[in-house]
Amino acid sequence: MRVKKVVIALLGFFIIAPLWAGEAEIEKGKNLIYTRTKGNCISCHMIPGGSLPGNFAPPLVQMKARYPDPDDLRKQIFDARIKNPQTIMPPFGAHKMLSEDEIDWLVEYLYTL
Amino acid sequence: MKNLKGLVVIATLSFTSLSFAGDALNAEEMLIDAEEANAAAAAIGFEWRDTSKFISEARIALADGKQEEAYQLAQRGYDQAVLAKKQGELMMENWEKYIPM
Amino acid sequence: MLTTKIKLTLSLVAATSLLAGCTSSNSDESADYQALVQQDISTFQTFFKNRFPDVEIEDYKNGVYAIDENARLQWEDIEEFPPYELEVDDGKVLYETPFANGKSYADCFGDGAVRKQYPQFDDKRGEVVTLELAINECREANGEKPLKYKKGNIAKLSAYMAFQSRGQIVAARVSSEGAYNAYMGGKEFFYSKRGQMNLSCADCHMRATGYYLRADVPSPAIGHVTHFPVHRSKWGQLGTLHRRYGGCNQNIRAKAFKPQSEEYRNLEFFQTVMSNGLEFNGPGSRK
Ligand code: HEC
Ligand code: HEC
Repeated sequence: MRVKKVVIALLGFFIIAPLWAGEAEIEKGKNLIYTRTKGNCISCHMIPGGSLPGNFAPPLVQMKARYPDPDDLRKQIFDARIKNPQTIMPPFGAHKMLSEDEIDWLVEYLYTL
Repeated sequence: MKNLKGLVVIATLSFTSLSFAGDALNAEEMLIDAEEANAAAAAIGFEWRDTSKFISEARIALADGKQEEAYQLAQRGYDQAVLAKKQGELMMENWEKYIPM
Repeated sequence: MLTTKIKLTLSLVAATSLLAGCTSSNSDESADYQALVQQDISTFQTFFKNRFPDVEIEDYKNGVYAIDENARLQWEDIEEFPPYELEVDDGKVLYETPFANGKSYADCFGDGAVRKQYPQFDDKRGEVVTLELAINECREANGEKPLKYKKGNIAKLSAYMAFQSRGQIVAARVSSEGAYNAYMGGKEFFYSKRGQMNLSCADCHMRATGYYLRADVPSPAIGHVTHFPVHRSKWGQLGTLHRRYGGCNQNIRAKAFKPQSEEYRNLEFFQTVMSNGLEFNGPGSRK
C-alpha cells in the first residue's frame, strides 16, 4: 500500500516536473536567447534588455498576450516552417539545434517578456 | 489536464528516441549507419557542417572502448545526416518555390 | 534532376520562341538561352530596385556600402589608403616573374586586363572556367605547381589582374545548353536552403539584405562578384570569392564545398550573370 502511494507520488512528480517552471528554468531560457551556438534569437529579434539586436524579425514582446497558448509558441520555435515554409527562422527543434527541454525553458522565459 | 500533457510529452519523447535508434543494436552498427546516411546527404550536396565531426569523435570513443559515448555521438551524426538528406530532397524538388519575389 | 532541367529548358525555349512570334529559327539556339537568362536578370535587378528605390544600379558594385550610408563613410576613409595596395604590388611582381621555363603569366593573359573574360563557360570542356582556375592552369601548362585557392599568392595575382581590369563591364554570356545547365546549377544552389540553420543565399542577401542580423547587414546579392578578391580586416589579408562562399556556408552550419569545386564555379557563374552590366572594381576592402 505505502509503496504504491510513493510510486504514484513519484510518477506524478516526474510527469509534472517538466511543466513546472521555476526561476532556474527561466534563467536557462534567457541564456539560450543570447548564446550564439544555441538559440541566438537576438541576431534576428529585438528582445527587451538585449543589446545589438537584429531587426529583420518582429520584436519578442508581450508574448503572453499574443500567444496565450504555450503550444503555439512552442511550435513556432520548434519548427517555424509550419506557419511559413519560406521563413528564415531556423527550425530549432526539427533540426535538433535545441533539445525539447531547452525549448521549454525558452517558452518560460519568453512569457516573462 | 497538465498530467495528460505531461504524459503525451513523455510518450512522444520515448517514441522519437525509439524510432531514431533505427535498428542499430550497438555503437559499431550505429556508426556504420551514420556514415552511410552522411554519405547519402553529401552525395546530393547537402551535408551539414558538424556531422562528420560527430562521426569521427564517435570512432575515437569506440576505439577507446567507450561504447555508450560512441553510440550517442554516432546517433547525433546519424540524426543530422537523415535531416540533411531530407532537406536536400525537399530543395531539389521545390527550390523554385523559395525564390523571393 | 538533369532530365527535369533539360525538359524545363526545352519547354521554356519553346515558349520564348513562340513569344518571339515564331520568327527565331532553331539554328539560333544561343540567342534563346541568352533570352531566358535576360529574363532572370531583369527580374533579379527589379527585386533590388523595389527594395532600395534610391540606389542606382551601378552602385551595387560597392556591396553593402551601396545601401548603408554610415558604413560607407568609414569605408571611403579606408579606401583613401587601400589596405590591399601592397598586395596588388606583390601581385604585379608575381605576375612579371618568369616561370622556370622562361615564360610568364603574360604569355597566358597579356597585360592581365582579362577580368571580364571570367568566369566563362568552356563548351569544349563542358565546365565553367574562373579566373583563379585559369591562373592555375596557366601555371601547370608551364610546369609550375598549382597554388592554393583561398588566399595568398593566388589572391594577390587575381587582385593585380582585377586592378588592371578596373572599369571593365560584367558581361557573362550563356550561349549553349551546357552553359545554361551550369547557370541553372548555380541558380539552384543560390536559392536552396541548406545547413542545419536551413538558410539560402537568397534568404540573407535578398530577403534580409539591408536589415541587421545582430551587428551585420547582409549586402545585396547583385554586385557580389564585381570587387573580388577582397581584403577583409577580419582576415587581415586578401581572400578569394570562393573563400567567402565557404565562410557563408559554414555560418549556416552547412559543410563548405572546396574552392573551385563545380558547385562554387557554377554559383559564381550565376552570380556573375546576375551582375551583368555592372563595373568590375576589384580588389575591394571589407570589414
Ligand atoms: C535567422 C533569423 C531568426 C532567428 C535566429 C530567430 N528567428 Fe524567430 N522569427 C524570424 C522571423 C523572420 C519571424 C517572422 C515570421 C516568419 O517570417 O516566419 C520570426 C518569428 C518568431 C516568432 C513569432 C513572432 C510573432 O510576433 O508572432 C517567435 C515567437 C520567434 N520567432 C521566436 C524565436 C526564438 C525564441 C528564437 C531563438 C531560439 C528565434 N525566434 C530565432 C527570424 C528568426
Ligand atoms: C545568415 C545570413 C547569410 C547567408 C545565408 C549567406 N550570407 Fe553571405 N554574407 C552574410 C553577411 C552578414 C556578410 C557580410 C556583409 C556583406 O554582405 O558584405 C556576407 C558576405 C558575403 C559576400 C561578400 C560581399 C562583399 O561585398 O564582399 C558574398 C560574396 C556572400 N556573402 C555570398 C553568399 C552566398 C553565395 C551565399 C550562399 C551560399 C551566402 N552568402 C549566404 C550573410 C549571409
